[in-house]
Amino acid sequence: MKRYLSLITILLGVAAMAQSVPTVPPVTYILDYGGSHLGNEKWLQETIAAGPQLLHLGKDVVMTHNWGPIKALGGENQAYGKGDNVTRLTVAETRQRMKDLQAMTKALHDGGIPMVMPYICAMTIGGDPVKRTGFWDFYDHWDDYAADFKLGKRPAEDPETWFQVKPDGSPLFFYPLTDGKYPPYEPNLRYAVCMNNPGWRYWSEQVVRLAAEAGYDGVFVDNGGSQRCFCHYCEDKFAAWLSGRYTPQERQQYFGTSDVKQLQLIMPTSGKEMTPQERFRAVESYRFWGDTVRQHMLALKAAGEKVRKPFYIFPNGGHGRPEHVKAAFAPIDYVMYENSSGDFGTNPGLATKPIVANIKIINQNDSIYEDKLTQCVGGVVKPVILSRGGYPAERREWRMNPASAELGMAEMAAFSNGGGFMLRPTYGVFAEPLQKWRRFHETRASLYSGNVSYANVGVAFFPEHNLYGYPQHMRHIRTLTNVLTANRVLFDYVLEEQFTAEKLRKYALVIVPDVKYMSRAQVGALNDYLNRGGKVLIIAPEPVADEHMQPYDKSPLPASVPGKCVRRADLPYTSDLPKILDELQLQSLVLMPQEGAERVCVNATMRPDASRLYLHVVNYDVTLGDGAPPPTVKTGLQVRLTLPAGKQIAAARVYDPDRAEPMALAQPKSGALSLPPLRTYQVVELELR
Amino acid sequence: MRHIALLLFSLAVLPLWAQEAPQTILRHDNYLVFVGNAGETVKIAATSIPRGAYQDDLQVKIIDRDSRVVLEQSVPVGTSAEIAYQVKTPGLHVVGTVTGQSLATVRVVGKPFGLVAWEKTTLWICGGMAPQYFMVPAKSKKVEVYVTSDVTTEGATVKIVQPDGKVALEKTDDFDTRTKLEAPVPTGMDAQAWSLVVEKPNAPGLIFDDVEVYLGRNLPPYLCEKPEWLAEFLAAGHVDEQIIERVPLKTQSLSKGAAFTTTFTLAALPQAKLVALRTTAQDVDYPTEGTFTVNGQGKYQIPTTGDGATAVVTTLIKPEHLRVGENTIEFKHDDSGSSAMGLSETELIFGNAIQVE
Repeated sequence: MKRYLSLITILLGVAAMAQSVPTVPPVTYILDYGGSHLGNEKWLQETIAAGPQLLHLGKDVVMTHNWGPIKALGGENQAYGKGDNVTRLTVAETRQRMKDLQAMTKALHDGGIPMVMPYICAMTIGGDPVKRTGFWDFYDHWDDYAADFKLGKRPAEDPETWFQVKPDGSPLFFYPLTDGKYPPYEPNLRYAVCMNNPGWRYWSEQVVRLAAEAGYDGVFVDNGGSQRCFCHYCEDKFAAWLSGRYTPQERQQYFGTSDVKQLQLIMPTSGKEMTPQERFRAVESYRFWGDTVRQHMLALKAAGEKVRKPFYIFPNGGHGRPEHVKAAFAPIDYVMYENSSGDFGTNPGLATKPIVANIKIINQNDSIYEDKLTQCVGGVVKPVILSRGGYPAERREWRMNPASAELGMAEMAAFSNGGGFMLRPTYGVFAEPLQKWRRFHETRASLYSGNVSYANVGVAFFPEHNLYGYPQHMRHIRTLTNVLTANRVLFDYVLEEQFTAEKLRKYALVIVPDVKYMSRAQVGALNDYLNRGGKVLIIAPEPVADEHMQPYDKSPLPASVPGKCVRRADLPYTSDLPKILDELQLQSLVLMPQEGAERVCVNATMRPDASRLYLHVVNYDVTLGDGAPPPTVKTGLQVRLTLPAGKQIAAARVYDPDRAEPMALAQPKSGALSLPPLRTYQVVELELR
Repeated sequence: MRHIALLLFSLAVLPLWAQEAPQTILRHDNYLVFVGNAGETVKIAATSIPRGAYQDDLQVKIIDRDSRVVLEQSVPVGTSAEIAYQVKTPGLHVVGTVTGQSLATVRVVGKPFGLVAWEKTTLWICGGMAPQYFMVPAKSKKVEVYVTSDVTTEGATVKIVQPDGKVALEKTDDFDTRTKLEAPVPTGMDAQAWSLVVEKPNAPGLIFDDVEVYLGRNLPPYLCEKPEWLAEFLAAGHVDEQIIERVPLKTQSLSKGAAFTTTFTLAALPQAKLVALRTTAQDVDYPTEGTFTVNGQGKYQIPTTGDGATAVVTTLIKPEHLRVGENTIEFKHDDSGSSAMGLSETELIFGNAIQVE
């Protein structure tokens, strides 16, 4: 690797500005599902003192989505779901609840917390439709509340008709019952309701409107992707969806009939073989349900914005569903990745696992995949990362400590474009890092505002492979992400719609990893890119069919061309990538040599006019767990950059949350910028001329 | 070393079924061990086996004694590979295998190897396991093996077999929750290799599929297909201690967040490379439950023993934290997750080689 330094030149290059939506500063974020916030001065003062920029509360609402107005506050869907907690409030009590919430949100805002959002859910009600308990009790008393709370006319169809249903018409329980019971709601049951049902949609809009009137800035919407319904509303909309997307001839070709009435929603069933046409109909069914989620979220946003603007929607459901991040959540404000499970927990930093005789596995936990995905979908959506030190039980050696909390926030600053990293309200431990990073976000907001991604490599990341039943693509993208970040190569994900000749042209290298379904237009774009001098790395397996699942006779991807197009049978490991880049004469894409820079990752953004370039440098050498040693400070780091064509560095400075003032950097020597010692995070600002 | 000698003796009474063993089929994350000699090329035979619709490739990593990943390779599902690795750092190596939802067989070719199976690094097999030998240390009173097969309708028959071939324990169950199997160690059966059989359940309605298994804390965590292979791994983790001086320390059990200070005097600082605190600890559940400082310096942790368990544990300390004359060590208990822990037979040891667990 040393030869990279010896060769260092700041090249006039081709790094790409992939996304068109400008960046915004990250936020500090607290999730607090406590149930005793109202009138709790101690809690209020502690929360204000900690001062998160986004405060996410539980069901501290006027009317809950699942029960209507009830005694209990706080918690998510399961918490406080039975007994006296779900006793319906009287109209007078509900009026008081509204006043108390308005006072609380005002106090939080006055205390300097700009965004406060409570919890709702996209698909849950609780109760018993026969005994008329729970939500049915409220439904039966709707008119009592209608005038005071401007609820309008009660939905005509009983909530029993709002359920998501299976193809046979029976209720779909997303959370299976135990011996016919749902213990957190006993004696009531938890039902999943349909986002396409007009009654549920209308009620959800009222819940959101009331939250806005209580002074909230948005809502967190749990179960943001839980829609698998076969009700008549869904079937009717699905028919319209297919009619709008495919001509009769196309329907005949792809689905075996042009008659949309015969093309009902379908999903794979265990043990039942599907025809190719049914498989593609299943893809469209999933795509339709994803669009349903999008429509529901936009409707909730519109309901809130009738009261206050902006009003933010913050669904849960990014984890494992990149196709939803792209299709459903891109126009929404935030998306949570509930990263509960991981082989080493999911808290950011180094998690160790003893194997035997003092040999251990050391794993770098990060959320670069989630952050880059959200950035690259190109919408306004911003990621919020939930992490744990093991699930369901936390392991002390993987527990978050103040240094890893700082790393989590550093990661959001570097990779997320405006996202937030979840801290719990353990203010004795986390208040100080929280305050430090908020100060940094706010005083250095200009570093994060109005930029676009800057990268040399485009990675074909096609999230809809999940719809095609091919999740390996996503796993391989994750692995490839680790390989690229470990080598400090700047990259973008290029999603399906972005995979055009024009967009690819921006990159020095395009990687096509395990793409099984690729349209003829995408294949053409890749060939065009290659023919115009682009360089390509193809990693098997290769495409077997186009986007309509029409099979290819043979792989449509270009053959190997020495120095231009490399094919591999499997994913490269970290140590393999430099050899491949050598083969393609792209050694310059590696920003830092490995020696001394292990666990250091980079990302870059740039002003659209190329006047400033920002290199974000993050040190993941932060050990998790109680009593962990402090982060290993990296010294002697040198960065070699490929600048935009025709640009030179006029001035360079480094911002670091550990330093009050920026530090000027010397002009590069032999093309390499020398960085000061790195503890957790630095932003290198390059003024370009 | 007594157990190694007895191990060789026990070969004479090996049950014959060991020669007709089924293959061990791995699933999820597993770890093998081998001892590499400098410059030696070690070969690993790996086969990635598809399972249903799952298409996960097998990932193989070799990790050296310093926890460095020295080789990574994937084996595409449905294929076999022989992975060659030239040893750079001699000593114990770990082969990490990740199958995802697919299955795999992985063996080190032509030399002893073992599977790691203890509480934090369990063995996951699926539908097949060769009989495996494990060492029962001298003076052991019981053998503990933990088994889980958490999918309803799946289960196993598990046998714990004494060195003389007698089945000490046999249990057929669905093992839906983690089950501790405990067999007493008869007189004269310690310090020898016992064996473990996990096989198709001898009961209607149960199928043999995913089973997680590991050895109890009182057993070295190695499972080998041949009993004579065990010695190599026991030796690899063993340090011949060179203790120069021992300083007994007064200690006591601690509870409810209490602290305890002990003092001792050093006339001179012994000329030793290493210094450690060794104690018999009981019921230390997490790394911060028991901590200590030396003359107010450092924040040392008493290694965990596990819930209710007793073990001799050793913590290296920095020599510069000691001084000539009076020294103090303050022990503290953290009761955030456990109410008490025990410390006894505590000593400070100075030496040029010290075994740390």
